[in-house]
Amino acid sequence: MPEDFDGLLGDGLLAPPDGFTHRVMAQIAELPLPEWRAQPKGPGIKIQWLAVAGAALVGAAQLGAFIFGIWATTAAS
Amino acid sequence: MNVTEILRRIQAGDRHAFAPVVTRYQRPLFGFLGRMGLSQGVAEEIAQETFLRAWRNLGQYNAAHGQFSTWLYTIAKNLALNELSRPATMREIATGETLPEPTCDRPQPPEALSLNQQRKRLHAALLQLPLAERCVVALAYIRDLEHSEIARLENCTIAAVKTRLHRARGKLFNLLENEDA
Repeated sequence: MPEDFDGLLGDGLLAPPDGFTHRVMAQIAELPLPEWRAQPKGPGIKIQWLAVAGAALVGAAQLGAFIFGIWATTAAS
Repeated sequence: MNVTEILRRIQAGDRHAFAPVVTRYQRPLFGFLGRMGLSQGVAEEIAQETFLRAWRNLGQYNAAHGQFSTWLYTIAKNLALNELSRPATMREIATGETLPEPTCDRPQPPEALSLNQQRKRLHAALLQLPLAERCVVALAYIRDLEHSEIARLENCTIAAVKTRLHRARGKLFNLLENEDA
């Protein structure tokens, strides 16, 4: 970058005016307190893991049945 | 600054706990808005609205989804883009009304005048960049933000951020060099 434009870009072309924090906080004093939404926690994740484990069990049972079927067919012939 | 502690205090009803957030982020926020090509007056309105919106929606901030600074800059970026798409602002930019002015009317020392001229040239060059590239430059110079967070803000890959930034800086360099020649 020519001259010190890189530094100028970094420092910013604009700066906050004096008393900006005070001005914002004065507005916030007139607003109601924020409402807190319940964050999804443990139970949701636990249910997800239970579903994964259940699906894995069903898959393993199907695979077992398939292998047993092949074994039964070859053993009979 | 421990954001979790600040949020806990606000949740307990302590409004003043938000003041350090405003103090901590106001300077990078104004820097960002300046690089986006906004005037001092409009930047003040948008910065104020950013903090007020952040306050109203504090309960929706989820630390698991990203850093607090990324969340705050997302609000600022959306407000800035809305402002830049307004016909009145577009007209001001086209007529050069958003160019930074000296902070006082008194005669200034030569160094200050030169700095102010450099500011104006840089501001004018930034305004010639396409908005998507200007936005990446504006975000990239915020010290708190890493490329991964910019990618998240811009909804693109880190590689795309780097490419866009490289291209934008190249254009900016050429614009300023051509002006010098």
